[in-house]
Amino acid sequence: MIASRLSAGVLLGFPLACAVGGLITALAPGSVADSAAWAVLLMPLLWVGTAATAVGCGSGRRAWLGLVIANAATFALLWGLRLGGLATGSGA
Amino acid sequence: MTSATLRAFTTLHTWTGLVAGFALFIAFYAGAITVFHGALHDWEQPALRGEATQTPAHMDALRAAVTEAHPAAREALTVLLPGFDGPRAVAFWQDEAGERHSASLDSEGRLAADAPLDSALAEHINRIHFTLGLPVTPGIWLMGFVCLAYGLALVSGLIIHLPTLVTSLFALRTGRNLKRFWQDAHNIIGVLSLPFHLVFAFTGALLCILALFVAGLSYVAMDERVGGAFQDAFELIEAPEPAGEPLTGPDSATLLARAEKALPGMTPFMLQHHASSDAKGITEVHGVVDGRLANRVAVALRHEDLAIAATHAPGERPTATAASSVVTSLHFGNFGGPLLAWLYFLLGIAGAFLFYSGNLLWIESRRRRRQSAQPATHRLMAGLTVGVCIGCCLGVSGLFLASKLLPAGMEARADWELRVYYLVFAGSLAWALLRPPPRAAVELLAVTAVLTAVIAPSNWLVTGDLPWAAAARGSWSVAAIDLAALAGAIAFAMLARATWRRARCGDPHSVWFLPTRASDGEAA
Repeated sequence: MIASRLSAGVLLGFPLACAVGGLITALAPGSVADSAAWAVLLMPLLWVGTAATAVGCGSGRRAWLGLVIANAATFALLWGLRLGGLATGSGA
Repeated sequence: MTSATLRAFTTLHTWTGLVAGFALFIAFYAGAITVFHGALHDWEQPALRGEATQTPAHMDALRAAVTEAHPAAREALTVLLPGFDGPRAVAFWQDEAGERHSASLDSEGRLAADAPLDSALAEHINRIHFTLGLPVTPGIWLMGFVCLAYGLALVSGLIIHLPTLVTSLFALRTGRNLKRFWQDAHNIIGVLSLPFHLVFAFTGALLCILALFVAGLSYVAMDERVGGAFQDAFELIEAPEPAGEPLTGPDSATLLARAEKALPGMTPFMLQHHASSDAKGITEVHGVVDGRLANRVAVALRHEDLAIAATHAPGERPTATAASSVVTSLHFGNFGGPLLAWLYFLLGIAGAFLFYSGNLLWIESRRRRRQSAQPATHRLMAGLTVGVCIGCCLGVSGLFLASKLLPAGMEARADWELRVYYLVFAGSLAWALLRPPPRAAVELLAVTAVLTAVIAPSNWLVTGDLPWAAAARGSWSVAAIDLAALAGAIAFAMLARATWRRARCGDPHSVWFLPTRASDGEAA
């Protein structure tokens, strides 16, 4: 059954899309509003792409594990940039 | 790709397709018709058909009358140019409670709150398109998630068919195996219109649930300043702070001439007045330019000296504004004239057929071979497919008839038009679930053919307009809607006939087979 893989992709795909969108906002040149616009355009594609990739995984366990790691890594990078003052998108 | 992975994607395609398919059928059928939103306005308001297009002077009279009668409109007032949405200029504003109002001037120059005939056919069809007829907010959110499921169905469908795409694309096998014929037809239409479907899944999701993505970016990843900056990029100017000195703003003709000088080649369609009777007043002129996808442009003009306060034009606008212009152009198909609009209409109808045939395939491919007893879920699925899909077509035809045939002057007439749709849709659904699916399908298709065939006569009965007479007078939109309805009636009649023949002569183990009394006796 694909229920476990699909729910991993849908539930963890959204925060992953947000985090990648955050990286784009933080790192892309130009104004925050402009890079946020590119991020928002990409987020639905990232979410659907992540869900489809999760379904392509061999098992539910692998999908959940892979996405937890991907989320942790992306958020760690984003927060590292923001706390290090290297992100343009926010004053944090 | 392993066969297990292929199976997983096939399951994903089937289930996302089934769940989203019902909603998408309605969105595509109503959406194909709503491409001609402006033409529907001409058709729904016969009293306006002969009326001369108003001038910029009427826009000034309208602005004066509305701001006189409604003080809230002095702060912000939007005026659509005459010819954009019917022959009259239309004013929109919000009252103190935040409720939206609209008004126009009638042919005698009186302020009229509503159009002469209280009909909202075009608005109803548009609303059914993006909410399925549900209350607006939950309807939009549901359609947003349906678009994401639709995206998953497209991606997985592509993955399944990619390996054999080139070899089997044009293999339309028209032999005795009807299921294979339907499968081939589904695949060809699906693959050829794939770019169109990708565009709709993507733009539909953004148009419905942009707020979710902006909120996710702001609150999950960054902070609320990001969302604020993104939203602000859509505003051409900040609303001006009134100085308290009265100043009568420049007239509309002057503003339009100044805007066209600032942005050559612009076709304006809307003025937005801010602080219209104050020295600090500003008017935004919004329009479109030809020959590009991001076709929306705008310029803000200060009332005191007609100086340019801000512009949004190609190359000088925020990415969010440019992107939103591309997304709306692609979704509404309004960037390439009537030919493109008809292409969108045909692809929309083809899309609706894709979802209908997809559901039929699901049922057919699961029926037990050479057995008459089939699982109850297949019958339920067949009933739902017939009830929702044909019920939507029948309801829309009922809506067209209600727009013409409900008595003029009836209390809340426009609301009753939509109630007719709901009643016909719910009735069809109940009918389809109670009757054997093939019988319900034939009956509902036949009724749809009849109701669709009388749309043009009902227009003639109430307004005296025959298609060729309307065309001769220059009302092409009225003629085109009448003729399209007649063509639709023929198509529904042909579908009814095909379904009937299938029920009589098709595979006896199909849910679409309808045994005659005699063959019932033989089976016993």
